Amino acid sequence: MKILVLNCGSSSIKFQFFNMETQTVLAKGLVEKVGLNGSQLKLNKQNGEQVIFQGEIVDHKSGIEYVLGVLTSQKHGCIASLNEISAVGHRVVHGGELFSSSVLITQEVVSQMEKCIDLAPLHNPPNLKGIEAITELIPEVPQVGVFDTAFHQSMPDFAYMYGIPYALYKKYGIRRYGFHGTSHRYVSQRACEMLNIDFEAQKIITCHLGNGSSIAAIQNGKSVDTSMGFTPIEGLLMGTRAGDLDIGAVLYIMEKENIGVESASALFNKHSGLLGITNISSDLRDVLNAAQNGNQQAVLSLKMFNYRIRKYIGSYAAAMNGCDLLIFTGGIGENSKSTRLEVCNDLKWLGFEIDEGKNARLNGTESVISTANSKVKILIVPTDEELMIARDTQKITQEKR
Amino acid sequence: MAEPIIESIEEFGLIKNKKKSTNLFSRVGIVGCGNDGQYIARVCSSYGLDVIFRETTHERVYESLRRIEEIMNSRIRNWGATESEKKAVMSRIKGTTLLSDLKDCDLVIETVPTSGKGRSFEARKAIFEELEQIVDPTTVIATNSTTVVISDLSENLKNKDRCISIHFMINSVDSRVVEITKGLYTSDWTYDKVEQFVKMLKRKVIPVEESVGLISVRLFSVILNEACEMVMEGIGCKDDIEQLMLTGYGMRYGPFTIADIIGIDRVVRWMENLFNEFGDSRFKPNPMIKRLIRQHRYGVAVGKGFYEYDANGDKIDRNHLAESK
Repeated sequence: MKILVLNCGSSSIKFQFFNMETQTVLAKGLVEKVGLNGSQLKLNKQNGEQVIFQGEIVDHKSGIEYVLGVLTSQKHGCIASLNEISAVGHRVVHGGELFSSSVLITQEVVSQMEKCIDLAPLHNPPNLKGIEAITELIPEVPQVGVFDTAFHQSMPDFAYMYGIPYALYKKYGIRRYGFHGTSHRYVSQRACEMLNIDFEAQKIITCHLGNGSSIAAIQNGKSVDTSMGFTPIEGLLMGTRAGDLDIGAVLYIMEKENIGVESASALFNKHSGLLGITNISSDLRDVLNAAQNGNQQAVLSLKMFNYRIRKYIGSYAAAMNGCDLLIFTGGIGENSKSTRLEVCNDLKWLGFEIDEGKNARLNGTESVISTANSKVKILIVPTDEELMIARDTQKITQEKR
Repeated sequence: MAEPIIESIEEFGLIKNKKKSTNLFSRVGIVGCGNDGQYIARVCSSYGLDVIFRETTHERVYESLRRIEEIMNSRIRNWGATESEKKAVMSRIKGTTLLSDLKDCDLVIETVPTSGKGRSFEARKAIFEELEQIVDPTTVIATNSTTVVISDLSENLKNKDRCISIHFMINSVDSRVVEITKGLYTSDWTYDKVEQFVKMLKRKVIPVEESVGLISVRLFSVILNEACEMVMEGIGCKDDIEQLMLTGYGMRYGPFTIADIIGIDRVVRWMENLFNEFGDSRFKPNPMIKRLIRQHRYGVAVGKGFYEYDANGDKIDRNHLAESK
């Protein structure tokens, strides 16, 4: 069974083509600048070759048409005909309250997804365009939608509600949704596979730390809380996002700086976080370098970054009345040994004991990095959202047969 | 890693020999790069379009680029943009003194400043005719002017159906609205394409029938004239009228501040054009406005108009200064 996974952004299309029998990637790539000047399709072939296809790509449909054309081409393709594509899986950013798991896409599902557009006006429309394009180009092929928010739909109401008038929840669906769901689900399941333990009998805290970061509390196989909320700004300190912030401060800043909604959004989404504190970079590696060279703001931002992660871990341990596994993933979670060390070092009382040697040695690899005595197992699990989407797609389309 | 292989994508479509799309503009030309031109250049560039503008001298080209950069800096100071966004925006904007450099554009917008009675119309018309000689027959030629109608500007062109009027509102970053006017000859194709372009710039389209002053300029002229009239009659003072419009009607700026931002000289030319067109005295510039012109108080651009402004274009609060003294 061969499955194509698509992730359509506002002006980009990421794709990966899987052979599910061998669980290998046959081809992957990216369509850039869709609908803009200088559009192109980048293909990474299985043999390591990279091909760049240049030319006009006017919209998502035409971008996907080229992806299919390239995959079936004699020169650079990996399949002889489109019939070899068994199913297509789509990453969809926001499933609102309508989707708590991945679904087979039908006309009804599409109209439900259209209802979620208001919640993610930048992300959901291109996702829908991708679905529409596949429906037109290869109508026989079943499609599956995998939602970034779905995994967190199991949160109890007391965890997802905000303390604002209930009417606003009813009117606009203002509540916490959480994001990175596919990643949290993949790494938590994968960790249980690695340790050969029952996913549905664990208390797991997953830290997805990248340019955008979130933490999830997963109890008995279900997400019970996560740090991102109605939008991805809430929670941890991120590359350029502020994370948790007093609303009073927001209002005060808007008044003092005389800025409107658009500038305020840019301020808290693009000028804040590590970049805002350091004024150097949103990239943790640059900040680490600056801190090593004695930059005090860089030192401060790292302390803030780590402290907030630790605070969330502590609160999720309390929320679940314990913790069996702590998982690090995402660019920073997988590759920054100092972040993992700083976060775990002061959590001994709660039963988190990191093995410094393993933490350094096994950086970036799928591994257990806690000491033998540690009450909580600490792991690095590199995330693979595309594989998760492909697996969901396989499962759902096979069930339907 | 080995060098990537470069291919042309056309060979790889599922549907061979399909027609090239004409839905998109990818290169926008701007003729005349004053305030409006700079604004349009910056907005187009921030949405990924290549921009090339024509100014009359190298000094003016340089000056326009410098001012666009300055606006980007001020956007950064006000949290509206980031350093890397500025770099990307600036890299897509080029200036030239030759109209012929605009030949590859698929949209050209004329934003020549109005200068003196009647002169601007002839100048604009000449530019339209010259442009037609240079650009592709399908290139859309537009004017950003509000005081001349597109049918008159395009009457001597061979392909009049590609001419249209696109008026950007530049008084605030949040005024995300554009007036589009079809002339007598404008084709639906042209209109649809321009409408799509404006939506791509995340701005709302306000369709307006061909009429001097469109909606924005005609209505604002009357409001400003009436506001000045009330000051002269002693009914209310400038600050109170501003405050009333701000708080009472939820406007972001009051009429005097808007006039300062647009430029008093420009507002006067609008009014004169409206008066010439409609012959109605409500469009005749109020003496208060004429007095500002005589005192060279042209608005934010020169640091003083109805109000006074510092080098960053921020209003200097006289009341506040008086209190703190």
